[in-house]
Amino acid sequence: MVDTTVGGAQPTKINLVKVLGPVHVWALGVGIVLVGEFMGWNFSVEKGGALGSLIACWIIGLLYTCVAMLDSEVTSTVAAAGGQYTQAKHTTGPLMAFNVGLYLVLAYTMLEAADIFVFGDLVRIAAENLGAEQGTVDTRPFVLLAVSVLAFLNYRGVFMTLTVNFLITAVAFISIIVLVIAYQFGIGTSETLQHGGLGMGELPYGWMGVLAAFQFAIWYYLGIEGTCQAAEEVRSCGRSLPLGTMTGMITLLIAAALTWYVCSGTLPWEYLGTALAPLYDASLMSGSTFLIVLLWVGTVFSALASANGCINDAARAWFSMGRDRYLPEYFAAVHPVYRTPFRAIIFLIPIAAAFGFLGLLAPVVTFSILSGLLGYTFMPINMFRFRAKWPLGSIKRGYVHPFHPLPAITLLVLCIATYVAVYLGFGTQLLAMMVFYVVASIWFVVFRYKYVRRGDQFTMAWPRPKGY
Amino acid sequence: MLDFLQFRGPWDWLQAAAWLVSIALLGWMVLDAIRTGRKFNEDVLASSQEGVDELLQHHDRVR
Repeated sequence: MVDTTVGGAQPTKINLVKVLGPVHVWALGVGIVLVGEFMGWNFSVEKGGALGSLIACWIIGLLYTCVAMLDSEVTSTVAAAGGQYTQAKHTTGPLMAFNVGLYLVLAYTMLEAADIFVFGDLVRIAAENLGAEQGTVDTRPFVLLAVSVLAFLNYRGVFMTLTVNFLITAVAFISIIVLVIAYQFGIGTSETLQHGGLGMGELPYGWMGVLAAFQFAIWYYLGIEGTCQAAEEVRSCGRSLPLGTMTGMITLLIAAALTWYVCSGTLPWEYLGTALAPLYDASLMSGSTFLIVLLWVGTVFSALASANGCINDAARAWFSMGRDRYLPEYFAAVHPVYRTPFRAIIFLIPIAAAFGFLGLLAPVVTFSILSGLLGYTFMPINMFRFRAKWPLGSIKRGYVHPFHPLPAITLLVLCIATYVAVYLGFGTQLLAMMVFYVVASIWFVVFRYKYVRRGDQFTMAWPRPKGY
Repeated sequence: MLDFLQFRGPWDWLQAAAWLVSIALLGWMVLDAIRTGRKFNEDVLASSQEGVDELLQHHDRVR
C-alpha cells in the first residue's frame, strides 16, 4: 500500500489494499468452484455413465492440477491483479493479453449469471415446498437481490467479501462430508449406498462416452485458477497464492470424489445424468429432514460463494485492463475508502443480472466453460515463455512447479482432448465463440491498441527478460 | 399490468422486499461512485500500480 496523504488533503496515490491471507485465497478458489459439485458435473454421467464420469473426473482433475501448478509458479512472482491477463502481458504480448483478459471477464461474469439464476430457482423451489402456489413465485427479485447484496459486499472491501466466502464455502463443503458420513455409517438414515446394484461398473457408451464426459467433468474444478486475481491484495503473494491455490485444488479433488461416490451410490445413473441438483437429490433419498435442509443450504451457499468470487475476479480483470488502457482508464479507479475497483464492480452488475434474468443456463455456462478452456490452453504457452524469458534463478519464485515441461505438455494435450469433447456436444457454440474472439481481437488491434500504455504497463519489480 | 402490486401472501411480500433492498443497495453504490468521482481527482483514483512482493524487493526494477 503506497498511498500518501499530505496535510489532511487528498491522497496522491491509491492502491488496492494488501489484507488477504492463504485462507482467503482458498475461499476465493474453492468458493467459485464448489457449486459445480452441487450441480452440473452429473451431466458427464449422461455422456459416459457413472464409471465414465469418474474416469473423466480423474483426467480433468489432472488437467486442473497442472493448471494449479503452472499458475502457482507464475503468480507467485506476479503480485498484480488481473491474474492470467497480467501474466500474458508480461510473457506474450498485448493482443494475447487482451484476449486472455476477455476470457477471464466473460468466464466469471457468465458463471456469476448462472449462479444467481440458480439461487433464484432454489428460492422458488423452497417457496413451493413451503406452501406457495406453483408458478406464482417470481425468481427475478431474488436473482437481483443476490447480485446486489454480493456486489455491495465486494464494493465495501475485499477482506469482508472473502471472509464471508470462506464461511459459506466451508459450510457447503462440510455439508458434502456430512452426507457421505451419514450414508456410509447409517447415521440418520437407513438407506445404504448401492454402487453395484445401480450399474456403476459399466461404460454404456464405451471410451467415446468417457471423452464426451470431459466437457462436463470441467464443472468439478472450473474456476480454481481465479485465485490469481487476489495477487495484488494478499500479504506475501509469493507464499500465500501457491499455498491457497494448492490447498484449494486438494479440497476440490476430495470434494469431487466424495460427490461422485455418494451420488452414484444413491441415484440410478440414467436419472443422475439429467438431475438438476444431484447432491440435494441424494439427500432426498435419505428421508432425513436434517440432511435435506443441510444440503439445500449447502447448495444455496455454494451458488452464492461462486457468484461472490466471480464478482471479485471479473472486476479485478476488468480493472487491470483499464489500468493498462486496454479498456477505458475510467475503470482503473480504486475507491479511496474501501480500496476496491468500484467502477469495474458496478459496471459488470447489469450484465450478470441481465443474463441471470434470461435464465439461459446451458448456453451461459457453456460460454463460461469455453472461455475458461481457452484460458487453460494459453497456460502451457505462457509457462514455456515464462521459463525462457526468466529462467530459474533469474527471478525469485515463491513456488517452482516440478517436472517441467511435463505438466505443461500434459495440460496442452488434455486441453486438445477437451476441445474435441466440447465439439462433440457444443460444436456450434464453440465455433461461434471463436468468431466472437476473432472479431474482438480485430476491434482491439484497429481501435484500441493505440491507447495502450506500451512501456508504462510494466511496473513489476522484475529483472529484464533474457535476451532483451 | 400492475399485478405485482396485488399481494396474495407472504411470498409476495418477500418478493417486494427483495426488489426494494436490491434497488436500495444498487442505488447507494451508484450514488457513492458518483460522489467519489466528484470528490477525488481522476488521476488520484486511477493512480494504482501493480503490486510488489517482498520476495522480489531485492531485485533491480526493470524500469
